Amino acid sequence: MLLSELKENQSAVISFCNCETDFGRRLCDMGFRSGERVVCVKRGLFKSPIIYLVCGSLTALRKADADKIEVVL
Amino acid sequence: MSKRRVVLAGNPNVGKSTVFNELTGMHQHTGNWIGKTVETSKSRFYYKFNDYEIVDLPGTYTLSSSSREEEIARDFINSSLPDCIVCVIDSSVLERSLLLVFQLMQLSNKLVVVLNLCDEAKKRGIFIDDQKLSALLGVPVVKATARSGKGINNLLEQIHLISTNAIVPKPRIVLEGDNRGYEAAREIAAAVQKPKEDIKLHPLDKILLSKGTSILAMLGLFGLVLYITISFSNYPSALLKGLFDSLETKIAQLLISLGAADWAVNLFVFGMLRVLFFVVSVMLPPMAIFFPLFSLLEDWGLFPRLAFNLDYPFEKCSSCGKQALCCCMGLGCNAVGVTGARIISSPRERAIAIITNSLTPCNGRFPLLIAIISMFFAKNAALSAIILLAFLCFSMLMTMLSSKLLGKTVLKGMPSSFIMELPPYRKPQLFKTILNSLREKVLFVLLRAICVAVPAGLIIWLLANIKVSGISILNYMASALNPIGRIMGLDGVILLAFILGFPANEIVLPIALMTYLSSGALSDYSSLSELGSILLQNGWTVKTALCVCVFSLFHFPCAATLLTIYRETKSTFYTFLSVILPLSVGFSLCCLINVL
Repeated sequence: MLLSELKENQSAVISFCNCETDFGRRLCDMGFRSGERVVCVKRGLFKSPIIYLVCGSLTALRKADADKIEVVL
Repeated sequence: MSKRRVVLAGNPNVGKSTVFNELTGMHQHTGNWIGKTVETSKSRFYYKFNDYEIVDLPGTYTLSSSSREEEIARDFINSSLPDCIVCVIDSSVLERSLLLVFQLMQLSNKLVVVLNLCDEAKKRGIFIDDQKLSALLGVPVVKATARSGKGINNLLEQIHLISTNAIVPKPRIVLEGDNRGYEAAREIAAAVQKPKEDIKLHPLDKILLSKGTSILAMLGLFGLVLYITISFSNYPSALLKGLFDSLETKIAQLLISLGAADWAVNLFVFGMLRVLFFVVSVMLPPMAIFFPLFSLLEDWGLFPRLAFNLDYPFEKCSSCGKQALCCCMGLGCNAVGVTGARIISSPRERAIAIITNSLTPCNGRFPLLIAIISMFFAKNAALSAIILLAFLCFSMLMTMLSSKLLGKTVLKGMPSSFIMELPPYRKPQLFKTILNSLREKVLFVLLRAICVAVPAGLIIWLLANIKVSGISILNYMASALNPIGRIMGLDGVILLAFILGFPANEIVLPIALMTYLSSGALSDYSSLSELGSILLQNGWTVKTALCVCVFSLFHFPCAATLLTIYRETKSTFYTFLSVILPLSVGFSLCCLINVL
C-alpha cells in the first residue's frame, strides 16, 4: 500500500522509495528508504501535509509526496 | 602565526549556531526551526595562543543533493581546506546524522563529531556510548549540550589538537560509488546506542496541529503577543517623551546662551532632534517589546507548526508552507524575510516568497498601525490587539492571493514539494533571548533613527522653511501629491511621508506629523490622544485612518529590503515586481475603501 494510506498511529515498513531523483534522494536521506519503520503520527488540517515518525524524528510530507512511497504493514 | 580555519557543519536545527556562539562569545541569532541560518557567518576566537577563524555553515542533511545550502557547504569545504571540520549532530537522531559524518570523512580526515543536544536525548531515554562511536568512526567524538555550555571546553581542546596535527584522526568509513552509507549508519547506530523508545507527539501539538483548535490557538498566541506589546509600550513611551521634552528645552537654551542664531537652533532642535526623539519615544517601545516576545515564540518552536498548518492553503496558491516561515521572519524585518526565503528550494516558489514578503508588515510598521488604531478605532489595548491581529490576517490573505496571482502569470509552474522536520519544543532561555533580541533591536532602531530620522528631519525642516513666493516647498510638494492622495482616501502630506519614509518605515508617522505641525500653527503635543487631535484638525476621518493603515500594510518595500531583494534575486524584473505588486494592491484597496 501507499504511505499516504496509513491511518493515524498506524505503523509500517517502507518497501519502496525511488532514490534516483534529487527529490527521492532527499527523502531517502531524511530516512524514507526501504526497510525503515515509519509511523503516521498526524494528518494536517486539510489532510495534507502528514507528519511521520521516521529515523527518530518527526517529518512532514505532502500527501502527493507520500503517494510516491510504498509500505507494507 | 597564521590563522587556523575551522568549519562548523551539521544537519539543520541541531544547534550549530549555538555551538558557534559558545565558541566565539558572539550573539548570532538562533531559532528553533529548520534553516534559521541561511548564510555562512564567520568569526574568530583564541585558544592556547592560537588564532582561529571559524565559519558557521547553513545546515545540510547531506552534501550530495542539489539544494543551494548543500552546494554552498560542499563548495566551501572543498575550496577552503579547513584545518578542522566540526560536525555537530543531534544525539536523538544519530543514524540519520551519520550520513553527513560519512560524507565529511570523504572530504577530510580532520574531523571532530559533536554529539549535541545531549540533554534532549537523555530526556528521551537515549544513551550513546561516545567512546565506542569514536572507535568505530575513527575520529574524536565530543558529548555536548551547547545551550548550557557543556562540553565546549572539551571541543576546544579537540579542535586545537586536530588543527595542530597533535592527533591525526583516521576515518574508518569509506564510501564508494553509489553507496550512501545507509547500511553502515544503521549498524553503527545500533552498536552504540540502546534501542530507543518511540517519540510521541507532544500534547501541545494535539492542540496546535489539530483541526478544530490549531487556527484558534495560533491566533490566540499571536494576539497575546500583540496585546502585551500594545498595553506595555505606553509606559516607556510616556517616560521617554517626558525625558526628551525637558532635554529639548535644555538643549535649545544651551544653544541660545552660546549665541547660536535662531534659525540654527530651530533647525537643530525642532528639525533634527524632534524627529529623532519621536522615533525613539513613540516608535521604539512597541518594537522593543514585540521583538523579544516574538523571538521567544521562535525559540520555542512555534513557526514550523505554523508552516505545517498553512502548507495546504499555500500549496493551493502554487507555493509552499515554508513561505509562511518567511512571512513570520518578515514580521521582524522584511529584509530578513527575503534572505530567509533561501530555505525554499524551488527557485520559482522562492521568487514568489521574496516578491510578496513586503506584504507582511515588519515591526517598523507596527508602531504606526498601533498608534492609528488606538487613536481612531479602539480605546483599550485588548480591542487594539484584536484589530491589529485582523490586519495581520488580512495581510496573510493578500500574501496568498498575490502568490496565486504570480503563480498564474509571471511565475507559472506546479507547486513542488514540502519536506519539513518538526523540531521538539525547546524551552526558550528566557533572559538570554530577551536580552539578545532587545539589544539587537534597540541598537538597530537607534542606529537607523540616527542615520535616517536625523537627515529626514533636516530635509523636512528645510523644505518647510524655505519659501518660494510666500509658500514653503513642502506645501508645494504636498499639494502636488494631493490629487493622487485624495483618490486613495489619503492626502498629499501622508503620501509625501510614505515617499520620504522609503529609507525606513519607522519615520513615516513622524514625518507626517512634522509636516502638519510645520505648516499649521499647531504647537507641540503631549500624548497620543493629542496627536490624534492634530490629525483630526488636518482633516483626518476614520476612513483616512483606515486607508493609512491599509497603505502602510501594502506599499513599497523599504530601501534596505529592496537592496536585499536585488542581492538575492539578481533580477531587476523581480525587484521591480516587488515594488509594483504591493503598491498596486495598496493603491486599489485604498481607492476601493475611499469609494465605499
